[in-house]
Order: sequence, then C-alpha cells, then structure tokens
Amino acid sequence: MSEDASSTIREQFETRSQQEEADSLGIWTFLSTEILFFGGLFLCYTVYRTHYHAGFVEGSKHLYYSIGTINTFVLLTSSLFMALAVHSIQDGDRKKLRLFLLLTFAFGATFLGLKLCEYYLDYREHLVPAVNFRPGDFSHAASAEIFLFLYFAMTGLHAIHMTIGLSALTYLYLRARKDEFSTEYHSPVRVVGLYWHFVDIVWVFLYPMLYLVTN
Amino acid sequence: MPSARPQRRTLFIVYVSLIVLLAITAVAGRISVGSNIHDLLAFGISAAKTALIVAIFMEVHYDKGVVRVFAGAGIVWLFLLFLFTFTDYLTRAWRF
Repeated sequence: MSEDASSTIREQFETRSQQEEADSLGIWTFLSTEILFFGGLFLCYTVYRTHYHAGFVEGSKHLYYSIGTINTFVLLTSSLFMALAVHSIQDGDRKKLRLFLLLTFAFGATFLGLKLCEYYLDYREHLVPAVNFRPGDFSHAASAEIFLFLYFAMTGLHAIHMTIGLSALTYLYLRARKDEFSTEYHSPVRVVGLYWHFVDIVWVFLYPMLYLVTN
Repeated sequence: MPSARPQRRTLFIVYVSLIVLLAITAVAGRISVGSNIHDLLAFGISAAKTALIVAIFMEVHYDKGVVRVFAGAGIVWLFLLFLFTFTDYLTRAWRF
C-alpha cells in the first residue's frame, strides 16, 4: 500500500499534505474568479433593484415560489451527500463513496429537472423576455422585464454550472468504480466537492433574490 | 489520515441547521414585515448558510492560513466591486 500511495505524489511535491494543499489552493483560486463571474450579475441585479423596486416585486410574484423552495432543499441535501462522499473516502470506504456520489448526482439531476419544468411553466405564462413576454400582464412592465431577464440569465448561468458539476460527478464515479481513490489519494473528490458546494452557495443567494422580493 | 476535518456528526448538524434556516427564510418570505426588515433577514440568513457551508462542508475551518486567504480574496474583491459602484449610484442624487 505504501508503494501504491507514494506513486500518487507528483514529483514536484515533497509530501502528500503539500500536494493536497496545492490542490486546495488551485480550486480556491478558481472559485475566487467564479465569485467575481457571478458577482457582475449580482451587482447588476442590485443596481436595478434599487432603481426599479416595484417592477422587481411584481416580477418576483410571477415566479414559482414553491419550486424555488423545493429546489433549495434539494440542492442543500445534495451538498450534504457530497460532504459525506469526501468523508467516506477519507475513511477509505469506497463503497460508501460510490453510494454518496450517486446520491449527489441524483439530487443534482432532480434540481435541474425541476428547473427545466419551471422554465416550461414560465414560458407558458409568457414570462420569457424577448420571446413571449406579455407587457399587458404587468403594471410595471418595463422593469419587470428587466427582472425576468436577470432571472433567466442568473438561473441559466447557475444551471450551466450544475451541468458541469454533474459531468464532473460522472467522471468521479467512473474513476471510483475502478477503485482509483483511497484514504491516501482522493484529491479529485475533494476538489469537485468544493466546486459543488460553491454552486450550492450561489443558489442560496439566488433563492431570496429571485423568489422572495416583497414590498 | 491525521489531517483535521469535520466529524460525520458535525456534517449532519450543519445540514439540519441549513434546513431550519431555509424554513425560516421560506416562512418569513410569506409574512409581510416591511421590505427592509425582510431583506435584512433573508440576506442575513443567506450569509449564515454560506458561512456554515464554507466553514464545515468546504472545510475552510480546518484549512491552513494560505488557503483561507485565497478563499477570502474573492469576497474582498466582490466587496470592492459593490462598494465603488454604490458610492457612485447612491450619491448621484446628492446636491452640494
């Protein structure tokens, strides 16, 4: 096992903990750029919201509050499973790693499925700007349309991140099936985990921003 | 492995706390308590959820200093982005 373990330390590193710290640093650097990537949209949202509050309240009332709430619950649960997946492989339990990766994937896919259903319902209610938005349904149509544009841009960007996350989970699961991870080597699981939790945090903010705008 | 990490029990406690916070947000979202109080509550809870996820699920609480600095860097730049934008937008109506 010790031979096996040493082969997973790359030549530029002295020790395993040094390699793991470099892995953490790498993904956190990427996540910092992601904060600013989403940050631009968050800023845009905040500026418009301070200017056009009434339209934002009206737009928010047209969204499916119940689907948004259920999806938040689904995503938080998937984050727990991701954390448990990392915990399991740190203990060397490969069977549980595979189980928790599958559960994380299932909840992530459920989130996306519900999101797609919601988009369809939004479409049927004529809420899609530049496609079938019906100004007559709103008393503050212009600003409500800005809100709905931001809703689709932000949840759309988030959904793209979820899709990338699901692909990464698939990759992890295929490697886990070949028993490539162990107590000594499981950085990919940890790194994908950090990404997954980040995407979860973005939704934690999107939820009140989009579904809970009140007078 | 000897490296520090959260206990399994801690993960479940964090999860239950997250769900309770979600329930509070969802219920408070339906009660009209005034826009400002409501926003403060909703975004305060989002910040609390984020702190829990970052500290425990993302293990920053157990990480070394340099990782914490990198994790915090994004937040600092985001803060500056908001700070400088709103020093402009919120002061445009002022007359000297």
